[in-house]
Amino acid sequence: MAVNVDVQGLTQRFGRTTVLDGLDLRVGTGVFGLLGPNGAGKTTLLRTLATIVAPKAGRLRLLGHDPGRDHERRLLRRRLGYLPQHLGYYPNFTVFEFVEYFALLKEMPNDEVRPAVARAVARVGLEERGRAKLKTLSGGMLRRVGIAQAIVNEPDLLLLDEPTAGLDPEQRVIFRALLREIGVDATVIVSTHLVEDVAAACTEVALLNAGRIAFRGTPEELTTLGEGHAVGDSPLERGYSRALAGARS
Amino acid sequence: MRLVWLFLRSRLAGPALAGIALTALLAVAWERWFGHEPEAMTAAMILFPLVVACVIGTGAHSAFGETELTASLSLPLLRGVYLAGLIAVGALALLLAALAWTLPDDGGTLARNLAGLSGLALLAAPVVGGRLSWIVPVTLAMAAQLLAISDLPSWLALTWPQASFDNDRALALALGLLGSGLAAVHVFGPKVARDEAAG
Amino acid sequence: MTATMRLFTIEARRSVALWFFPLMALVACWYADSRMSPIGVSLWRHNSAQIGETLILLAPLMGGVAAWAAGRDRRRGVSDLLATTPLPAARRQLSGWGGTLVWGIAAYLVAGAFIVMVTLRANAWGTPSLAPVIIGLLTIVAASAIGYLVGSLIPSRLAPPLVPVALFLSIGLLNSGWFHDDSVTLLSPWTLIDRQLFQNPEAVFYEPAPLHPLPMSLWLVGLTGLALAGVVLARRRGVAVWSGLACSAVVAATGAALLLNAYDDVFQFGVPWERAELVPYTPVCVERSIPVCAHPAFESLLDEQADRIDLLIEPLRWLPGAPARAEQLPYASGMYADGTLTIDPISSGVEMAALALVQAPVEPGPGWNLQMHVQPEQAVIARWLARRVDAASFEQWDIMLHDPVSGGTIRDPIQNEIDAAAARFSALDSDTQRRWLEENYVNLREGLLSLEDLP
Repeated sequence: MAVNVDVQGLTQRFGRTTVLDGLDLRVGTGVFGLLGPNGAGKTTLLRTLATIVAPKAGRLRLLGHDPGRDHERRLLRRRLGYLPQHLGYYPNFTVFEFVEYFALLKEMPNDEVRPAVARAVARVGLEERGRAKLKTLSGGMLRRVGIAQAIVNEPDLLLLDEPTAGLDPEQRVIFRALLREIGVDATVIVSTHLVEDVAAACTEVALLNAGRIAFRGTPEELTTLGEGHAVGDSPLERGYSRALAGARS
Repeated sequence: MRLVWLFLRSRLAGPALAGIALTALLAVAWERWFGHEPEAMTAAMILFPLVVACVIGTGAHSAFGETELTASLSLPLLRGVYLAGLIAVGALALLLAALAWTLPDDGGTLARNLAGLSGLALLAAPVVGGRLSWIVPVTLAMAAQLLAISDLPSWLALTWPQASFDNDRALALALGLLGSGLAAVHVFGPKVARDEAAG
Repeated sequence: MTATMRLFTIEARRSVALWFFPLMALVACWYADSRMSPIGVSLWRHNSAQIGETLILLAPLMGGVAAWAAGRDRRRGVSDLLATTPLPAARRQLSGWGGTLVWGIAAYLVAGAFIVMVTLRANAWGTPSLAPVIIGLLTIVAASAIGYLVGSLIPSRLAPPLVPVALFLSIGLLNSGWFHDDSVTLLSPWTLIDRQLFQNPEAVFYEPAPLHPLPMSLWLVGLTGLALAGVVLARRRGVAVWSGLACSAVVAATGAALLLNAYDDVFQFGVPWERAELVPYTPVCVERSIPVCAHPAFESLLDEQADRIDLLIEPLRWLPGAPARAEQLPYASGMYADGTLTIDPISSGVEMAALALVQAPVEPGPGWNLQMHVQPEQAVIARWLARRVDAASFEQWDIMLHDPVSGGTIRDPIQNEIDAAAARFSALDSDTQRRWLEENYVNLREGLLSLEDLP
């Protein structure tokens, strides 16, 4: 299996606060869940992988490219999809325009842009609202627009930060299916607080605590870890609590 | 008091006051540089109130967006008091700056223009939002300035900032604009874009 | 359509400047319309310059709107998402700038089209001048680039309103000559374009002050380049960007240096008017009791003015020294010994012609001030003549005297006596008036009479 994300000794600091502390991570194709408490460093890890911030220390190779080099970073970004935790948007753009705008920014071949936009919008179930301005959409629909822009270039590395926040149960189910579909050929890293998403969509999961990986395995392994542990409403939540407690002790 | 303090912080009152103080200092410097030129001093009568009015207009920005509409305490009242306070501080700063000037009625004209231009900005805020409210007073001020230096036909609705302080109709118009602006912001509030970040 | 064009199209369609386009177009048209024909006729050179002059409103407004547009990504919280895209930020920002600028240019073109339409309908004289139009356009482009730079670099909410204020001040300040060194005012495009405008009818006879379109264009293009290089530098530094910045600086500096050197060329040009170069022309004439001629620019006013001149000279027609011809000349200074009465084809020109008719012949050429040399008894007859043509303007017309204290002119202190004498003369029957003129016209013109000699 190709290693699409290869992180060694990754450190990120903001002022005196160390957010990621010598983190090592190797991820291949599939859907990789990233769990962890607030402030664990999940968003910072995703922003680093998305090439928004350069690492303070450590080595990073993404899709075989070194994002520290201008030329390689540009090649990498063409194959990257990213949904930030707080999606900013232009309220006067229509759904189609917003997704097309990012398709163009991702330097997709000119003749592929229009069909790719239509496909991405259809995959998130917004084809009937394609000409609606973003300011008229509900929060859940905006989230789906964000997902559409992330997948419009059919990325090989898809980074999603809290993608299901605001989605209704029906849409969450559809979205998880979409993740599984994309994860067949690409590496999808999903940061989430919802363990149901991990259980339903992820092939692998890591628990991040205080900038380090406290657990890594399959969702089943995390479930097993929680057996006999009382904190949590579901087996996976109990596994999460157990792994976190172990990391903190 | 704590609420007032936090409210002021949310409106970036500190930078607004600093902006007003800096404008007043520039007004003093202006007289030093261009005091010999009557046209420059006439322009200053509009220029400095305009800058302060822009600061006041942007102060009408709704920092918390729609959340503000849900507060049980009357935020519109707090906002109105804040804006009135900014106008008072702005007028005071300009009046102090005008003490360094030599032309008659400087202070009165500056204060009248501040009132009218601020009123225009506040009237624009419910339509285009606080942060873009400057567009109306800036456009009017430019038109008034051009009317002053050319032979264009002059309508009081456009030229009131150029009128002398003893022009009662210009004064009434400026005060009317201020009253309408404050009322508009109080009743309708500034336009809120739900996606806009504060600041 | 290329990707860049498509990006630009989306930006233009959704630009905030689109909302300001009607306001900008309206303000520019209003401003242009109110300054279109200050000397009573429509002239292509004046109206071409007027298109360029709309920059005084459009450039600052575009600067402010561009500054606002430049802060969009930061305001909307899209910066993170944009940072992950491979298209160079510079190209993205230039698309955003272009999408904003296009509406400023559209407003400028609307104002220009409006002026052209009005000028065509007015059957204007002369030929259009492209240079001021281009300078106006380049100024709007430069102002929007400067605004975009400020909006990109300064995240403060106060940046967008301060940009138009600063730009308006810069253009206005540089135009007003408030500086001890006037040559700096030439850096304002408004200064140069303003000197292309017609402030008085005499200007049609002369070449305009040089506009220096090339140095001004270099200066504006250089400023635009500097601002855009600044926008790009904030995101990306490289040899190409630094080279662009350096080239822009050289271009701007070259333009500025050439402009600053043009001081004498511009400010001493046509001061006084008669020092400027006369443009050859063939006068247009109409026949009344005498031929009445004017510069072709004033052809549309000639018929009406000829009727007024005809009426004006009617009581003097058979007298010795009466005018044999009336003509608009570069300097409307009086009546010449050959019987040529200089006229001004605009409506108030009748009063000056009346003054010329009661004074002694003057040497052809400039420098004679009819109002300052008129004697009280001459003023009485001039008033009577003018009242026969247009009582309304006659009532507003005072005899002015030279004021040695101020160096200017003051209202004649015996104005009331002149008014009373003119009223007395007007009340006489026409035979008495004619007889008095037959006996006294020559002496009146030579200044040999006094108020007491009037009936």
